[in-house]
Amino acid sequence: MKRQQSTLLYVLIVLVLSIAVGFVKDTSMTRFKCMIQMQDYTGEGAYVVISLMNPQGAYEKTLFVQGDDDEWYSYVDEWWVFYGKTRPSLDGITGATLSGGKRGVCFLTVATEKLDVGYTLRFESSVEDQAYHREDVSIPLSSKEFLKGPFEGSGFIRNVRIVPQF
Amino acid sequence: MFRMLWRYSHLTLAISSSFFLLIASITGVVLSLEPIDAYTKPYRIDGLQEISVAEVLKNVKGNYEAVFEIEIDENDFVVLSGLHKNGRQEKVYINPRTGEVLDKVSKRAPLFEFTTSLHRSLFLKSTGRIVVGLTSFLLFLLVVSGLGLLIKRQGGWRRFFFFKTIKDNSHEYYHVVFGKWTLVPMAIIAFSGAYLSLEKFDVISRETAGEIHISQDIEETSSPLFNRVFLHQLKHLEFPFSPDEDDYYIVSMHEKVMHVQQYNQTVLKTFKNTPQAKVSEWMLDIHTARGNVIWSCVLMLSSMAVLLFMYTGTRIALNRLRHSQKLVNTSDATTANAVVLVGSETGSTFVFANQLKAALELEGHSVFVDAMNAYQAYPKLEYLFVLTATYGDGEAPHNATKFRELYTRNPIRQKIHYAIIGFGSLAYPKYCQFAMDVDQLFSNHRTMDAVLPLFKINNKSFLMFKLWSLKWNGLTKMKLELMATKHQLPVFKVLERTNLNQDNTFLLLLQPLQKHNFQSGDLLGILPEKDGAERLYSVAKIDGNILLSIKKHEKGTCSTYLSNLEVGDLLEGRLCDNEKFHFPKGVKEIILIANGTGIAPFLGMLDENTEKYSVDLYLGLRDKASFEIYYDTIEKALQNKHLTSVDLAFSRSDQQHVQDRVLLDIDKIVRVLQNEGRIFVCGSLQMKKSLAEKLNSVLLKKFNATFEELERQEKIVTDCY
Repeated sequence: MKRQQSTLLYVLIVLVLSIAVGFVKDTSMTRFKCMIQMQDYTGEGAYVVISLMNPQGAYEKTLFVQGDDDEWYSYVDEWWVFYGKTRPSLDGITGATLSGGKRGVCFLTVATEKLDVGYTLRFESSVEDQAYHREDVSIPLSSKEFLKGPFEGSGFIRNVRIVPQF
Repeated sequence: MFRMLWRYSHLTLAISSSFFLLIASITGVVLSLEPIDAYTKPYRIDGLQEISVAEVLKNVKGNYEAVFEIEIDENDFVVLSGLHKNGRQEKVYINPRTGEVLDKVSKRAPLFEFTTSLHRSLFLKSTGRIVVGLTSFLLFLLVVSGLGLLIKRQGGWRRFFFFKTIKDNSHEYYHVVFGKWTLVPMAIIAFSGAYLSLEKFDVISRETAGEIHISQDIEETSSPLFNRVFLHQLKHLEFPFSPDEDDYYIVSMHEKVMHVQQYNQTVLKTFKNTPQAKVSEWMLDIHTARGNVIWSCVLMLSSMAVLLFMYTGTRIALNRLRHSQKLVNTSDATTANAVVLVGSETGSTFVFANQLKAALELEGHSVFVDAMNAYQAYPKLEYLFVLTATYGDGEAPHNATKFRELYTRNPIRQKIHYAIIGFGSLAYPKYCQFAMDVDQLFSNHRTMDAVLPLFKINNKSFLMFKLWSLKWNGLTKMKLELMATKHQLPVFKVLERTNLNQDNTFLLLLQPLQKHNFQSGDLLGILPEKDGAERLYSVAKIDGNILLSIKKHEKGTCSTYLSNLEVGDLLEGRLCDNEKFHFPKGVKEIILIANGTGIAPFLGMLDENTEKYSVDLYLGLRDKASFEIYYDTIEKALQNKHLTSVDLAFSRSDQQHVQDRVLLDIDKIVRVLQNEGRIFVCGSLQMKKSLAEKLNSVLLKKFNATFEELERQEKIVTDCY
């Protein structure tokens, strides 16, 4: 009898835990849709890297890379210092380079707890033989802030818009 | 002079671009596989013109939380990027009729990625791009200068495409023929490549957004826009970023880009693509052959042709260099009594000049060979030979352009003998024109004696050159013996030909016109005119000459050609060693078995039996009369004991085959084999097969070996056809 009870308890705990985990997982990450509109420049397509920066201003995570030929990654100077050391997989978070006048759309997934606590999104851009912009656009990671867009770029990016994706 | 300029530019361009051109063409071959690879993928959507944008939007709606873009690529694949219901951002091939996902779009194959980088920039980034762009431009100039040379060579524009280049297996021939075939695609590759490079460096603008014009007419029609736009018109469709009123669809079509309001589908703005944008697209299309399998095959072949050009071009240049610089003269202009002047465009006439030089030197003359442009005074001159080709439309070859002027200024005043040989091709209207000009130039000088009239040689024929030498020998006291190079076929002279007997068989006696080491049983290969296949005949060597026994076949090109030869005619042939079928030394008992013309080598072998060993001949013929043409030779061999016995089988009159007669003497066969003797079989394969069948049971019993096994042990030697 006792044995049966403990088994039941065990099953119950597992059940509750798994639901809890599932629930937590569902809300722990928040997804945003992001559109980068490029300036009308001429030349090669731009490599644009979107990174999550912690409140101290250091790289925390790569969120998306526009440009899928890693031959050129080292030309995104600052990011390369962060990324180049370990080169974690970018599977599922890369797209094509963005040429002048074009726009690119992507999804950014960030931990919900990092919203509104001083994190920022940094957009770096680099074009072969032209220039590298270490902070083409920088946007505070906050749903409220995002509504203030579009955010003007200072380099190859004309502007960036971000909306929550449900 | 102009021609030299063309040629030097062509060569200089080729040399300066060679390294990068090599890389570009090899990578080009690899890259041309990509459109072919794409073609084999099962994502192609047929009937794009029947599918409206509205239909696609409806079909994909259910599966995706958000769609960013739908693209119709050059292979007619429909590619969708968006956020799938399962939360993954993806790029997939879809079937627009159902919205069904066909496959994930995978990253471009690393091979193509790597090769493209190498092809485009040699992994040297911008520097590489400049180099490649320049190489492309040089290739274009190469094609242009090549075209110039081709036109010159063919003798004018009109003859350029319609006129066939004479096939002679030389490097030049392939260079020219491939040039004619790939001229156009190569010019296209080179031009588009150069164009794309210029564009990369902003020398040519590729502004895509053209002038804006607000359209009015579209508003008029009633049905929504997306019902009227079909997929074949579409390049890509970008979806509105958010449900916000201000966000719109961007519809990129082949001629224009439209911004379309997302709720009522009105056109907000239209941008027309600029002509540069169209040209740019088009250049990319033709340079990469994207979406076009046939064109990609053409590009592949053209890239391969570049490799071939590099090879043949190098060989041509080297040949020319060798012929013009490495004139190995043992005498010089002041001491030579025989001078050979050469006018040659490709260097091939020097081959003949050197053959003549060697033959003259054997005759004890001191010979000096030089280009016609190097003409000077020759104080000891007795014999002058001018061997010259003609270039294009009756002009002088490049190393003979100054000859007329040099000669006129300083003509020969001694008493000399001379001969002029013109080399050329009958396909050109001005065949041997320059040789004729030289002939004319010489004919006014009384002191000069033309031993022979101008002699013309078509298509570098060694046979004709040999014929010239025979004529020359006949009129002088010389005995020039021109030796064929390994690329030429030696020449033989017909000494005798019997008429056809009732079996359509005849004998042909040929005299080799140069020294040959050969033996009876060797083979003579003859290439009849107009027929590509070489026929091999087993030869008999009789007094240093070649005796062939030939059966004329009704449709046999070669046997017909040979049966029409007259005494004194020349023919080319290739003597091949057939060592296993030589008359053996020191073998004391030999049996010869032949049928029909297979007798030929034996007729000569009997000559070699000077030790008078035992030789028995079994010969199968049709009837008694067939034997007549061999009678004298056989009779003589019997008399001087070179032949021990003859056994004849007549298939028509006696219904008996040679193998039947051999079987009757099976004991002798066994004895000969036991005594380390040798059995030779020559004739038809059918006879050999039947002979083997008839002998096998006895051979197996006595030697525990079949006919074939004894053949492998070389106790039985056969040469059947």
